[in-house]
Amino acid sequence: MIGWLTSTNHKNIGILYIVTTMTFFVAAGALALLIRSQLAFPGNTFLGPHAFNQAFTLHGTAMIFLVIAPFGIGLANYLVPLQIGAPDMAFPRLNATSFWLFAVGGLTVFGGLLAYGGAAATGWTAYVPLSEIAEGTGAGQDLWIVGLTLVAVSTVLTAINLLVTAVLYRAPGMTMWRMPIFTWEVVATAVLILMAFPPLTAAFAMLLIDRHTGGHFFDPTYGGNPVLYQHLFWFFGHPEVYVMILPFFGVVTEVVATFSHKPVFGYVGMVISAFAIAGLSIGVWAHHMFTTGAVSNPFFSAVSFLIAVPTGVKFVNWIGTMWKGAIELSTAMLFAIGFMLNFLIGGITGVMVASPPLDYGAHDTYFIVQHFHYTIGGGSLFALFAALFFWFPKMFGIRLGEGMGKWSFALLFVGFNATFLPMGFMGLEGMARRVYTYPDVGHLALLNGISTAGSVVMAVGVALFFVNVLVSALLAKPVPDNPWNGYSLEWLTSSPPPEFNFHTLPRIQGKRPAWDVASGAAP
Amino acid sequence: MGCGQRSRALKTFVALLLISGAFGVAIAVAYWLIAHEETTGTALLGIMSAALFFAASYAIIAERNANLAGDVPEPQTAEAPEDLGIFTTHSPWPILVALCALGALSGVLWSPFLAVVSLCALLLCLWRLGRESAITPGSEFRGVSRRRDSTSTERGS
Repeated sequence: MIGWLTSTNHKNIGILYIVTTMTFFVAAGALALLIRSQLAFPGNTFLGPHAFNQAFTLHGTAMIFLVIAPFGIGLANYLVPLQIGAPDMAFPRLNATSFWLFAVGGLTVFGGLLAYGGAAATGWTAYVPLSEIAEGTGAGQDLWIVGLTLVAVSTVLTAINLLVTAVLYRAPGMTMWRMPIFTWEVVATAVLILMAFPPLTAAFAMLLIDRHTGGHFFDPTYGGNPVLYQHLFWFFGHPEVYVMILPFFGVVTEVVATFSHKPVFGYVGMVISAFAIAGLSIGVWAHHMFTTGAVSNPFFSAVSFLIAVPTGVKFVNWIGTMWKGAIELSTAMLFAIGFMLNFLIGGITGVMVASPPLDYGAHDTYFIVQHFHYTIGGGSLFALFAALFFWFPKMFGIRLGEGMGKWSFALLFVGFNATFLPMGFMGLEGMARRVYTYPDVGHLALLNGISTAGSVVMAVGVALFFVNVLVSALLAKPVPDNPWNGYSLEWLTSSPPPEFNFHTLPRIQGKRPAWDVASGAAP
Repeated sequence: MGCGQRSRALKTFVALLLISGAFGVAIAVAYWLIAHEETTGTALLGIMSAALFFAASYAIIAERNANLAGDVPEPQTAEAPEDLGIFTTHSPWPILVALCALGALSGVLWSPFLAVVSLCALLLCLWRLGRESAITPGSEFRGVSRRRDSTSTERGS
C-alpha cells in the first residue's frame, strides 16, 4: 500500500488516476440518480431546492474536473511512455505531485458536503454574482474553489510533463510522425491545457479575493464586471471540452484501427485535425455568452461553425479506417462505434446552438443539457469504457469478460439514449435547467419519466461493468502480450509491462512497430 | 539519454512554464484594459493566436535543435544512448506537497496560522523533493534507482 502511495512510476500513477477517477465517477453517477429521481415527476419534493442545487453542482463538477478530463490524463500517463518507447515520464516526481494535487483537490471539493451550509451549489460554472455572495454559499463554495485550484495546477503540471516526454523521450526510430494517434492527441491536449487553465486559476483567485478580502473584480456596484468572470471561465471552459474529448478521439482511433485490422486511414489528416480543433477551440469561448450581448455574436458563431470541419475530418478517417476492413465487434469496438453515433448527435446539436438565433431560444434549457451530455457523456464516456476494455489486458495481464462487456454496452447505449434524447424535447418545450422541479404541462411529465427510467438502465450497465472487473480479477485468466493484434509499441512489451517498460526495444522503422515485428519486417 | 539531454528537458520545462506564465499575464492585462469593449473577443483571439504561434515556433525550434535519438528514422544499435540518467521509483514528498498546498490555500481563507505553518511545510517538502533531483549517479539513496539498470543496457539491441 505504501509502495503504491509513494510510487512515481508512470504506470502506477496512471492506474491511480484511473481508479480515483472511477471512484469519483461512481459518486457523480449516484448524484445523477438523485437528480433524476427528483425530476421523475412534476412537483416532486424528494430533494429540496438547496439539496438539488448541491447535487447538480457536484455532479457537473465531478464529471468534468474529476472524471472525464483526468481519466484521459491518467490514460496518457500510462500509455504515452509505452507508446513512444520511454522508460517513464520525463519528470516522475512531478507526475506523482500532479496526481496527489488532483486527488486532494477532488476530495476537497466533495469535502464541502461536510461543511456548514453544505457543498457548493452554484453550478459547475460558479457564475458571479451568485458565487460571490459569501453569506449564501458558505464554506462549501470556498472548498470548491480551493479544490479546483489544486486540480487546475495539477493539470498544468501534467501537461508540461506529457509534452516534454513526448517531444524529448522518444525511443530511437520513434520519430514524431511515427507516434500513434493517441499520443498525438495527448500532445494537442497538453498544448490546449497550457493555454486554457491559467485563466481559470486567475478567475478563481479573483473570486476568492472578492469573497474574502473585499475585492470587487466582478462587482458592478464598485466598477467591477460580472461578464469578466464569464470571459475568464469560458476562456478555460470551452477548450476544456476539447481537453475532455481529444484524448478520447485518440482512443477511438486506436480501437477502430485495431479491430478493423487496418492501418489508420489519413494519419496526417488525423494529426492536423487534432491541432486544428485545439487551435479553433481557443477562439470560440464566447459562444457560451451569446445572450449576454457583450460579445461579437457573428464572429464567434462563424468560428464555432468552423470547428465542425476538422471534427468531420476525424469522422471521415474513422469511417475510412473501417471501410472494407475485417471488422471485429469486440466490446471495445462496440463502445467506439457507440461513441461515434452519440458524438455525432452531440456535434450536430452543437452546430445548431452555435447559431445565435437558435441559441437565444435554447439557452439555459434542457436542450443544452442534451447537447452537452451527448458530446461528453455519449462521446467521452463511451470512449472511456472502450479504453478500459482495450488496454485492461495490457495494464493487468487479464482481460475483461466480453459477454458481460457487451451487455454493459447494450445497457449503457440504450440507457444513455433513453436518458438524454428526451431532454432535447424537454428543452424545446421550454423546460429550464438547474431548477429543482417543473409544472405538469405539455409532455414534460412523460419525457422526464422516460429520462429517469433511462438513467436507471445506465446505472445497471455501469454496475455490470464493475461486476465484470471483479469476476475477471477473480478468474484471472492470463492473456498474451498482444491479445488484440494491436499495432503500436505498447503491445510489444509484456502484460503488465516491467518497471521501466521494455526489457528489449525493437528497432522501430515505421508507424506500426508491432505489425512490423509480426510480419518480420523489423527485428 | 545523457545529462545534456536531461538538462535540455529541464530547459524545455522551464521555458514552457515561462511561456504559460507570460501568456497568463498578457491575458490578464488585456482583460483589465479592454474588458468593456465589444472588440474584446477579436483582440483576445489575436493574443491567443500570437501565443499559439510563439509556443509552436518554440516547440519546432527546440525539437529541431535537440538532436534526439527519437528523431533518427533508421536507428542502429550504436545510436542507443549509454546513460539514461536517474529515475526515482518512490518518493513520499509528492503526497506531502499536495497536503501542504491544501493547508496553505485553506489557511489563506480561514487561519493565518495554518497558512504560515503549511507554507513553511510546503517549502520544506519542495526542498526535499528538489534534493532528490540532486542525487548524482552512483550515490546511494533509498527510493532512487538508475534507469539503465532496467532498460538501457538492452536498448536498441
